[in-house]
Amino acid sequence: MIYNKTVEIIDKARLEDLQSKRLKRLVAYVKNNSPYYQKQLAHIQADDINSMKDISKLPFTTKEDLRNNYPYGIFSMPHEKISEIHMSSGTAGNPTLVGYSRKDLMLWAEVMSRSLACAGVHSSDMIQVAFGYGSFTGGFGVHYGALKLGATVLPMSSGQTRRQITLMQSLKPRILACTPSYALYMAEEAASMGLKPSDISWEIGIFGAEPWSEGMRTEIEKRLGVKAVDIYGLSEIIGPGVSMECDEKNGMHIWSDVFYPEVINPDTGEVLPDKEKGELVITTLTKQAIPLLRYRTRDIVSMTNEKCACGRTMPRISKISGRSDDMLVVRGINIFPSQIEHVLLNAAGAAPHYQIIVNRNSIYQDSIDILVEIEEQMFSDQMKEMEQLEAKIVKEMTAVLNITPKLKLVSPKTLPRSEGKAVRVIDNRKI
Amino acid sequence: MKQLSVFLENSPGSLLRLTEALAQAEVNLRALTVSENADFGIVRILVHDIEHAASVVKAANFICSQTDVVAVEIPDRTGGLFSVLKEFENKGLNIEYMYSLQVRSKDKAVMIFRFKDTEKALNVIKNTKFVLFEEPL
Repeated sequence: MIYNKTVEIIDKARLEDLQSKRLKRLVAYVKNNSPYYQKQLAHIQADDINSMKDISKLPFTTKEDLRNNYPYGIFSMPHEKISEIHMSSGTAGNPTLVGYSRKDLMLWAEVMSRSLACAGVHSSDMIQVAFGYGSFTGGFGVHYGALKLGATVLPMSSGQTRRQITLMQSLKPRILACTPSYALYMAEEAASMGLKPSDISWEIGIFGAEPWSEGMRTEIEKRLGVKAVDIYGLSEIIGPGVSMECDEKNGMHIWSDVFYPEVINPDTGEVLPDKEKGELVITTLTKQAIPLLRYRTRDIVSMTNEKCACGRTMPRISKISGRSDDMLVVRGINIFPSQIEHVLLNAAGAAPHYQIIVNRNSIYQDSIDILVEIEEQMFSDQMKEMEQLEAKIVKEMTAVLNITPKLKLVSPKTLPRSEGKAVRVIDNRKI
Repeated sequence: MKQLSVFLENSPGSLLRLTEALAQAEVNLRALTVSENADFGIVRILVHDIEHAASVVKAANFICSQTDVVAVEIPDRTGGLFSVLKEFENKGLNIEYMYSLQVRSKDKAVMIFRFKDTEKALNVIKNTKFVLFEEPL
């Protein structure tokens, strides 16, 4: 079902006209309201922006810029007027903070209802939301969209898996929304409770917040007997609902009337033609609280403007095939190696060589091992002191990363270095 | 007395690598004990020249430290160790860990003790009937 026929099937010329008017207005708005963009755009006037081509005159915005201007420096609205705040993990120390005005929350509900309808959700459906609720955007984003669409929401958050399955059996929701790895975990749990795929009420699964492969899709569809579709988003732009796969399962429609996408060469910043692989860059055309110009998502995709068989004219992006930075996504959680470095410095009083190893088991559950080369300051002749230190490091990492890694102390100079440079991450998952 | 404490990764061959380095440098091990958990071990070593041994171990890329320990002569008879431990208990000395040192003597054994406060332990033991072992290793 197409939720918003005035924009989702708009013709390209009218769409571009709408986008360029919005961009012009946006440039004037951020220049007037964001202390950060006031400085960044000193040399640019709104009159310089007359078509979407002129977007190349605007600077990129990075996660680093958000962090350097923490908490509100990049906002275009005083915090008294903000309705809701969410955050994601930053590269070190500060989280990436995002704010929503009332109008932004309405926009979020709008793009999420488009996304849900695009996945095949109807107003008569019940949606089991097993994305985390909290400062993470997943739970609330789907929740707001489901309300706007008129569906029934089951706000479960993630965890309490047995209870999720028991409730599914009694209330029979047709829709499940969670991370793909959690879906497989639920499939595992359901099987251990003696349930067969035919006992599962979910027919459509909306999965995102972490990269997943076609192989994983097949696996989920087989085990849960659902149609599994991919949803994409990031908190800096709005959260889930930036783009969504339709029935064609041939790329995710990005709601470009409000989130203008570009694909660039991450090294040169050059905008790439249709279908070429590069980094996705998004400009939020209509946001109020924290609009971003040409935000570098660091996600590697390719994009097509070809009309989709579903009728929508909105461009489509491919599944995320990688990152242009060192961020890892594990169980839907963003992890930067620098966060781990930070914890080691705080907890161990040392900046040792370390290596992060990400593994995926046969039921697609991810785990993190952190190997740390021991330094003199960390060593004690007493086992209990060493174990206390290990426990302290693991505890602080859990607090910072929201995920509990397994720590292993190793001898000095045993971790591989290539050309003298440390190899920080070994990702053994095949995504 | 000083003990050399060495971090040992729990992987095949790491103890071998440590003893190989010491053997090549002609360091004679007088006592060795290992404390381990699932992930790593701590090797405690007594040698004649600890500075030399420490430099050898570091050069072989091991992390080590020097730890003050107390060597006490134990009467080599039934209840010998018990009588020493009883005395420590009475004087409020807590042992972090202990192990034995081989000596060529018929009437005494030597135990190595690690106390939290070595200074205090030495003072306490000097005021008992027990004798500190102070021969060169």
